[in-house]
Amino acid sequence: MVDSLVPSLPTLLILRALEEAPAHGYKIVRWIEDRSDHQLLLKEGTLYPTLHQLERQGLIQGHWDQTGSQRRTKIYELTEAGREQLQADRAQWMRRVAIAHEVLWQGGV
Amino acid sequence: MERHAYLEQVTRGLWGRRAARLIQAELYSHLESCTEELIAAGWSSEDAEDEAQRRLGDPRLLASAWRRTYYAPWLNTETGLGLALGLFTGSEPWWMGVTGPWQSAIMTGGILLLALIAFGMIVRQLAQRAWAGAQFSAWSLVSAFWLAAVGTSVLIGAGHPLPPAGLTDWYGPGYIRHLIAAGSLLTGMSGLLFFSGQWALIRQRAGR
Repeated sequence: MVDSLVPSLPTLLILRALEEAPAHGYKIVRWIEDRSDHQLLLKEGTLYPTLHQLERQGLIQGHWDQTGSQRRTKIYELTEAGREQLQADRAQWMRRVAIAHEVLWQGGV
Repeated sequence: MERHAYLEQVTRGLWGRRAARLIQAELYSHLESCTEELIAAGWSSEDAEDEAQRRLGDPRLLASAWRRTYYAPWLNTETGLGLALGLFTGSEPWWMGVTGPWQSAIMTGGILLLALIAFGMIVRQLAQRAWAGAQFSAWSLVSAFWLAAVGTSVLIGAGHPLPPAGLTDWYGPGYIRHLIAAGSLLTGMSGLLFFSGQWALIRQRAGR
């Protein structure tokens, strides 16, 4: 299955965004957009179910906080397990993408 | 669409008012942040609110994504285990003496295996420290099953105080086991019917 060849990119991007600093969902979306020069756009609606899944897997941890406008916001931060998962997935991503690049352009490694 | 109605639609089909409220609060905060940013960029208040909702997405698709996130896992595992345990217990073949020793051993082994898997899942979740609302709901549901089974047993006992044929020990351990088995079987079968219906409903709504 092709999907399992590389780690999920949205998950990888979310974990990477949280590696920078704890953030709420909207901030994560904006961080990815800004850093990719608006080339990588996460579907905002499906971001939250993904965040909840990651939280259930213990890769991130959420806590409620008050924003400047006294609105309750859920802030997520990377757990130690999430940090390890990010490192492993990032390394795997780089390896697989390099191989896929060779296959696509040169016809083989 | 009005914001409250939009958020209600996004969390439609999620059981547990607390979980739905928390998701609504999280999405409300997202919509507010987006709206504020758009207003700062020169949008009118009304247009900004509509645009924020449009960017978040179609509420029916989002509701479907949330249902998949929260319900598929426990419908396939914890609930199934709870109900299967109930049905196994309810079949009470070794208590009634209707099966041979090898059949009894298979049944007992099956129950022990299911119990072991259930225990392993709890330990794994504890180890991951990932006790989100969905896990609580799932295990509350399994606990609710057993409470309902015991309650049903008591009701059966109250409504049918005479021991069944072959059991002469009035309110003895044999009769109590039989009552618990009957309660588990009834609750398990009702639970299976109920969740099959709910699952079909979820699939039907998700397919719209």
